[in-house]
Amino acid sequence: MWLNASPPGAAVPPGAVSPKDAARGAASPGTTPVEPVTWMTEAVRGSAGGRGDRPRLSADSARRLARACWSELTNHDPNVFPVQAERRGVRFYLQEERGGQRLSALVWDGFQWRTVGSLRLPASD
Amino acid sequence: MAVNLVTEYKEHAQSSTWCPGCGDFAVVAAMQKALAALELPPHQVVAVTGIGCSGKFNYYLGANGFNSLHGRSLPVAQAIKIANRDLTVIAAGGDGDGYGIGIGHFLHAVRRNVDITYVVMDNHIYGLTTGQTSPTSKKGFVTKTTPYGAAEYPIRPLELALAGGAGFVAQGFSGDPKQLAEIMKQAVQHKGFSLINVYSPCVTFNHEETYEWWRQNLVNLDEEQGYDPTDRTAAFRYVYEHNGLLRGVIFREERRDYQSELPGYAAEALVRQDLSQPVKDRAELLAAFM
Repeated sequence: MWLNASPPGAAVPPGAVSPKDAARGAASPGTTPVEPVTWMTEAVRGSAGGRGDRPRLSADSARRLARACWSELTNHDPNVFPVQAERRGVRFYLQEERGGQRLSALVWDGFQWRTVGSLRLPASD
Repeated sequence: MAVNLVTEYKEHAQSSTWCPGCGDFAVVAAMQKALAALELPPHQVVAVTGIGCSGKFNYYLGANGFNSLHGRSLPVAQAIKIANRDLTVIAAGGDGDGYGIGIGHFLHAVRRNVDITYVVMDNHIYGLTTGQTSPTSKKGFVTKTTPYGAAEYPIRPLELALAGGAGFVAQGFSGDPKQLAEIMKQAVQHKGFSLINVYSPCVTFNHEETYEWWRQNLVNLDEEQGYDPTDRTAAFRYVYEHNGLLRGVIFREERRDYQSELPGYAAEALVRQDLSQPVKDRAELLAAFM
């Protein structure tokens, strides 16, 4: 389900599918509702500390950081692309796609940003 | 109408495999909006692409599509337009596809002036092959292929198009999809060849020219007092003086397109003509050439 190239120590956020599986239209395990901030918290905790140059965040700190990112993503200027938030070497994108939105988490591996997971969010209506 | 048409395009489009945050998403979305605003439904539009990340443009646009060879989107697009003038034809590619292997076709398409729109998603790097120096990479740009920095000077597509006599030259930025959609509307409406070079950041491999970098460095022509996009010499000078770091419509000029210049070019699309000649006539025609 996950890219072999994921950086060591990166945790698998619950409810996420790999970019390849997502592109194939695979159903996300997260279709059982996963609250975005919870998913993002796991992504932050999984990546921060994974490269050995940052201390692992406590659950509370990771959740605060995830909340801040989520707030930034959801209060974004609609005329600006992309909808992006970044903290502590973790980057999130929120993008429209058919039938909803996709939240993606990426980590910096020293050479490039690698997608470590994505969460399909249902349409808000 | 426009909103419904955007939905129609999206319904015909395939799921994307582009990296999250890729500038090309905004290019496709802007084109869908522009075509919908012009009330052009998907079946009246064809998108032609080459190879690279940009080669998926036609799959994600949701109109008719033709994925051609590397650097060969323009000859195919021109042929489609000449054969069926009723179609709106969009050619799309990247800087490697269009200004590298496809540069010869680009220059001739500019001077030929067939009524098509060419969108180049210019990220200054080869993204699909994981980050090599491209024809538009700046001098000194460090990648896997130029670990000591690019020794060559970059291609300057805007100046090339202006010098080649292009009737419509514009530049957009993925970070401002609203302006990009407006540029696209004007380009599609332009009679003749139109170029839109779009700075479309590669978020995965180009770590220097990020969205933020472009936002800080691009001059928005919509906000430039006194800029006249109908003066070719001034446009050329402006592009040169700003090192190409502009966004907006740079130049436009009404010119007769290729079809209008062709004596005897049928008023009707080839696909609508009666080609059911008697077999005898065809045999005579064949004999005349043998």
